[in-house]
Formats: sequence, structure tokens, C-alpha cells
Amino acid sequence: MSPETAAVSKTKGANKVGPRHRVRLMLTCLCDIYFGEVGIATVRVLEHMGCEVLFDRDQTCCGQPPFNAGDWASARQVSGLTMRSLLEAEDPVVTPSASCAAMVREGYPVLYEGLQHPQIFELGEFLVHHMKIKEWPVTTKKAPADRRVAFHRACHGRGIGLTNEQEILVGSLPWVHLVRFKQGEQCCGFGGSFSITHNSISAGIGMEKLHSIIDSGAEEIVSGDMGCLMHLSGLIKKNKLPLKTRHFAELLAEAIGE
Amino acid sequence: MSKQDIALPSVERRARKIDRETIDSVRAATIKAADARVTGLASLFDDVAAARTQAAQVKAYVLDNMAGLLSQLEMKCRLNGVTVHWARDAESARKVIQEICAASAPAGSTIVKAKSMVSEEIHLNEHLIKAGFNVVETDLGEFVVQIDHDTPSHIIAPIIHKNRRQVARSFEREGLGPYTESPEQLASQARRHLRERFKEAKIGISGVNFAIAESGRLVLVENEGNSRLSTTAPDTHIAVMGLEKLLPTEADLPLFLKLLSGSATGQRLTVYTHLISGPRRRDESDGPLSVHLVILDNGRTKILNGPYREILRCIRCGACANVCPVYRQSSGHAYDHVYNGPIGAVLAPALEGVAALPDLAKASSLCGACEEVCPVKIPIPRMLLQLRSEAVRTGALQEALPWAIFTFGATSGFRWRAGLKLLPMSKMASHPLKKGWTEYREMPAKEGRDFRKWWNGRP
Amino acid sequence: MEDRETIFADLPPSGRKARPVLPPAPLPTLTTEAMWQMFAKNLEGLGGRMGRPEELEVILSRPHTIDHEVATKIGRLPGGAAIWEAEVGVTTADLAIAETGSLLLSTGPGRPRLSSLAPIMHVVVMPKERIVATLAEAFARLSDRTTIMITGPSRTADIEGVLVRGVHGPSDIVVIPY
Repeated sequence: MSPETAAVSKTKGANKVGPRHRVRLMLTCLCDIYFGEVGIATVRVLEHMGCEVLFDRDQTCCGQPPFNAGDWASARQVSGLTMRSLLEAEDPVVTPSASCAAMVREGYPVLYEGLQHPQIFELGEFLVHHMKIKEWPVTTKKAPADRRVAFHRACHGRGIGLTNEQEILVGSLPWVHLVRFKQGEQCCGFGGSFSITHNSISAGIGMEKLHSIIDSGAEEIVSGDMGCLMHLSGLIKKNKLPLKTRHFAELLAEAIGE
Repeated sequence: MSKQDIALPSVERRARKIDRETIDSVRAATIKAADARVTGLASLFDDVAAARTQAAQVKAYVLDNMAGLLSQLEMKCRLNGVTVHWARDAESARKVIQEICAASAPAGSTIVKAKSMVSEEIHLNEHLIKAGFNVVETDLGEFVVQIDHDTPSHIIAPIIHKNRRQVARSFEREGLGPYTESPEQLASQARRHLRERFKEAKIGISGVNFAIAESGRLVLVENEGNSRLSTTAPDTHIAVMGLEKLLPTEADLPLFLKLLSGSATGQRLTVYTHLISGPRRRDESDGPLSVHLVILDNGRTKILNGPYREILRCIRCGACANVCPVYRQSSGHAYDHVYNGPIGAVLAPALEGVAALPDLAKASSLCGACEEVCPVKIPIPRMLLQLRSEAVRTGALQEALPWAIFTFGATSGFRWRAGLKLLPMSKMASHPLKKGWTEYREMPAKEGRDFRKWWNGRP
Repeated sequence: MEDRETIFADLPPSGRKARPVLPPAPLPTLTTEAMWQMFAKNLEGLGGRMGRPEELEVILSRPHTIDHEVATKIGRLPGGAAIWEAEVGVTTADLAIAETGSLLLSTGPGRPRLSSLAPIMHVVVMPKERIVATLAEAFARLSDRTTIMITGPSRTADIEGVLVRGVHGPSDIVVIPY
């Protein structure tokens, strides 16, 4: 058994009275490398709802990239740290990424025979189904300007039964107007290393989605997956399109003044 | 670090060569078909999910009882006067079909063909043409493909990659009539031309959509009428089927006919559902004098015994291709195989071996849309992952990306944290990975605060 | 024989679970009248139409083929024009299926297969009792002869998705119940 490392909880932010959930944060590698604000927003959001958030500093990556590429030997090695901490934990793991949650729930039983019901949840499903939140509380003093938002649902949520949890939360914010756009359920084209190995197809899929979004009049794309956001944002910047991208946790954190 | 580009995977390489006009035609057609599927199935079933589950169960039963059902089918067909032939592989199938043709009609005779994927799988046409027969595809789309020496780009809609101007030019070139861009007039020209072929044909060759084990009935579905004509007018009918195209009983037909039609085009039913019992009986005045059924293995038993067996549930509706974002950007031609789209990405390497087709399974973002629409709930994404794993494990695929480095960094918290600190410096380096990204996108940049620094700095 | 043996040698042994029996479709209680109304609506949606017996005079003035059963019913000579020359094929039907606007036609003596296929117009003259509500009911009563289920006129959308009727089969279907 490896020693518990740096699992010091930081709970000063919690100001709600009520049942306390203890959760372990899975940051995700993309968040670690590029999108720190998403991790910060995720912690703020969970603490605001009364959770005690633990963060193990020895976490790395869930192993999805080599797994999807077919290199399952590497995937087993990479997922080792995540797997160990999962087995040790009694508290559920929460992560701001549908694809990482899906990797653990669907991919790990393939890599680790006999593994059943790993207790890991995507942030939106945790808030809606476990903490029973139907409407996101607004406590910020400076309400942002109204904006039209196109919500992009990550495909990997399909396999683990995610539906519109993130949209419910974001759509409940008074300044957010969710806008429908053509072919809304289509993939963004990221697909992990697919975005590099089949890059013209990947970019084609992404550009089609961006054009549909622009046609809808939306100004901002909100999603729950950093891979999708990174890919769409990369296309937007290269093509100088009039769109912003944000992770839904950031909108929720904004609403509680963080 | 070498400045060589990563070798492009085959589907990506071919997709880059496909022109804008084709992609636009394919996109319009697939979007239309995907939307039609939703309304069509809703009008057919109160509970579409339940219908799919039932169909998946029936097909799972078929796969689990293949030997028994095939024996039953063979016996019933023989009782009905159908001659049954077994073909282990493509060569054997071609040989037996050619022998039947040679025994049924002199060289130079016309053979009319109804659309059949399995006949394309075994490259039947070229073989019969070489043997001196005049083979004519009679499905309108396949007819165009044939006269253009092209290949079909979609499992059920062969020419979604063509527009009317292209068809008009082809018809004019073949002397079918004066140049016209009206689909009605083009169809009319085809009708007139092909009618003569039906009249003169000695042999008709078709596939089989469903073979019913309990009765020996061969079920063929279509909209145009060319399949009925091909299997009714000539004296000899040869039906070719993959051995998995079975249903246990006639009572299963309503469910499958509706699912196939609704999933493929959004229609409630195809116009014609041909329930063939056998050749012309003594008291009947038309119909083929002899009917042959060729049951083809060609790798299916191998699949049945392996990890990809669920792919044999497929009823060839094409719904997966219609929703696939990869297919929409490239069309079937990018797969360069008779079976394309999501089903093809599994079936083709499953039939021919991963060593022969190691990277078709990589042409997917694993979005799962295919599995969501499959009427028999084939777990395509899971099988794509297994194919990728098999390709890497057996060395059929040289993995392009440097997982060793990533693995080294990701198997230790200490190394990972150190790697995070070094990452900004790597921006300077050029790398094939980077080019794969930056050809179409800007590199991601670290925006805002670093999480670990923030976390460690909290009181 | 050889190929058959190698194939069967490779097939796994059959399982032991029972065959899945599909839940019986709920039987709607519809009158014959109501079923014909549903049938007519669906047929018209497909581009076919209902007709009346009075129309037969005009229809039969064109080169036609006619099923024995219909000819007997209306007091005409069966047969008629050669099949490839006929403009109209007049046939009976085993059943009409209300839920889809389909017709089931089995072949047999006096009922050539091509009558409902080669001519550009197909006219069905059938007793009005021969109608059921659902596909499931119809398939429980299938003839063991070769049978065709016809759901509307022949069509294609191969060229740019544009719907065209009467490609190889009839472009017109008229159903006359009596």
C-alpha cells in the first residue's frame, strides 16, 4: 500500500451547511498541462456545494491516449497510478471530463479483468444526480453580460449514460441563452490522437461544427471536455473565427463569484 | 529528432484526395438519410429502443445457433426445389457460380444483377465477364457505377458521391438518350435500356437480405423493381448470401423488415419485399425454372469464433455510415473496400485479417454515433478498439506516436510533475506530432493559473 | 460437399438457450371500414390511390394482363396482352395490410409474378374482407408459394436523393376493393 500523499483537504471555501461529501479530484492530464482554471473552477464548485475535496498530487493520466491507440500495454502502465488510487478510495472520484470518466468506467474493465463499478463520476452528473442540484445557485455580485451559448456535448459521455446534466446546470444561469445549432449531436472531430493521425478529417469535422455554431448566432461554445475545447479553440484561432470557448465548470464558478 | 512526417494512415491519405464536390454530395445525402431515419423509426415503433434490443437478441441467437439454423435452411431450401451450394471462400464461390452459369446459358448470354454486396466482396462481375458473359448491373446506382468503371461509395446508396450532371454525362456517353439533367428523364432512359436486358437475360444474380431457416424462404428487399425483375424474368436465379444472413422464423420478419427500412432510408417499408419460396412450380406460368443458393463463408466462421463476432449481426442498413462524422468527411471511397463506413472499418479487417488492413480501425474518433443507431446494437467502438489493440500487439501496425516517452512520464508522480515544468521549453522543438496539430489548428497555450501551484498555495 | 464439410467443421456448436420469441404485437380492434381508411391514407402517402370498380372499363381498354380470379369475378377473358407489351397489370391480392398500405400477392395458377411488375400501371381488384391491420398478422398467414409484398409504386432516390417513381416497376398503383 503506498502511503497517502498530500491528501490534505482544503475546505476553507465551503460555506454551506449540510451533508458533507468527500470526493477525490481527478484533475486530468489536459487540465494539468493547459487548463488549470478548469481544475480550480471544479474545486470551487464542489466546495460551494459542501464537498470536501481531496487532491492526490501523484496522479498523472487515466491512460486513455495509449488505450485508444491500441497500445494496451502502455495504457496499463499509465493507468497504474489512477487504478491504485481508485482501488484504495472509498470516496468517489470526480473529474471535469466525460472522456476520462468513460475511460475508467468502460476502459479499465477491459484492461483489468474483474474490475467492477469503478466509483468515478463526471462533474455534471455528480452535481445533478448525486448532489441533486437542478438549478445552479447564483451568488456573484457582478453578473456577467448576457450571452448566447452553443453547448457541445462530448461524445464519450454516450457510453456512460450522460445526457444533458451539464446543459441543465449551465442553462439555469440567467445570463446564459442556450442556442440550438444544426447537427448538434455530431462529434467535434477531436478523438484524441485521431486529431493528429487523421488531421484533415478531424479538422473538417470540427470546421463543420464551427460553421453550424456560427450560423446559429452563438458567441461562445461551452463543453465539458477539454479535448474538444482544445481542438475547437485551435481551429477557431487558426481561422480567426468570432467564437470563444469555455469549460462549463468555469461558468458555474463565475456564478458563485470565483 | 527526425524531420520525417508521420506516414499518413490509409483513410486519411485517400480522404485528402477526394474533391470538394464529392464531399458536399456525400454530406448532404448522409444528413438527409440520418434525419429520415429518426422520423421513420418513430413512425414505425412506439419504442424504438425496445425494437433494437429485440432485434439484437434475435441476431445473437442466430450467431449462437449458426450450425443448426444453416442445416435447417439447407434442408428446407432443398425441399422447396432450391439447389444449395456451399462456398468456403471467394474463389470457390466464383467457381461454383460460373459453373452454374455455364450450365444454364451459352457464352455471351446476358446476366442481370440485382445489387449485392456479397457479390462485390467476391469480385464476381469481373470473373463472369472474363468467362464471356454480358453482366449488367440493374440497380440504377450500381448501373451508373458499372458504366463509369467506378466503385460504390455507400452500402445502400451507391452514387451519393455523384450529382445529376455527372450521371447525365455518363448516360449521354453510353448512348442511353439525349443529354438531360432531370432525374425523372434519366431514370426513364435507364428503364428503357435495362428493360431490354431483362427480356434477353438468361440468368439473374442477387444477394439475400434474410434467409428464413424455418421455411427456406429467401427474402430480398428493394425499391426499384430491378431485383424482382432479375430474379423473376430469367430462367435461372442464383442467390448469393453470406452465411450469417439468417433469421430463425418468418415471425421475425416484420420486426426486421421495419428496422431495416426505417434505419436505411426512413421508409416504413421498402417498396418490394420479395419472399422467394423456390423455382416456378408446375402450375405457375412464370418465374425462374431453377433457383440456386450459394452460401458463402469467406472468413465468417473465423469471425464467428473470434472477438469481432457481433459484426455478423449486421443487416446492411447503412445507418452507421449516415451518422459517422468520418464517413461524412470522406465518403466510402476513402476506405477503399467494398465494406466501408463504421461497419466496414470492423468487417473488412475482421474478414481479411488485421495484418492485411491494419489501420482502417483507426479512422474513427470513437464518437459512438454508429452504435447508437445500429438496429442490432453492434458495439462497433469496442471492436474498433480491439482491432487497434490487435494491430499493435501483433506488430501489424507501427504505432506512430511515441507512447514510450509518455508512459515514462506518466508512471511516476515525480516524473510527471517534473515533465510539467519542462513542457513550455518543448514548444521550441518541431516534431511530427506538432505538425499533425498545427497544419489546421493553433497550438494550445497554457491559459490562466496553474492548478497545482494554486492548490499548494491555499491556506 | 467438401466446402460444406470444412465450413461446418469450423462452426461452433449450437447453444442451448431458447429462441427469443418476440412479444406479440397488440392486436388493434379495427373494423374493416377503419382498416381500409388507414390503408387508403398510407397508400396515398406512398403515391398510390384507391379506385372504384366503375373505373375498370376504361382501365381495361388499354393493353393489359389480368389474373384469372379477377377475370372470373368481372366476367372477362383472362390473359390478354403479352406481358412485356401490357400497359396495365390487373391482379388480385392475398391481403391488404392497413398499417403500411401494403399488399401481399402470392403467385400461383392464373397469377403470373410479372403482372404486378412489368406493366407501368398495377391495378389490384380484391375482396374487401382480405385486409388485416398489422404486418405481424399478415405474416402469420403467408402462403408457402413465392409471395411479393408491395408497398407503393416503384421508386428510386439514387440521383441526388430526388424521388423518382416507376423506375423498373409500376409508377401507378390503384387498389379497388369490392
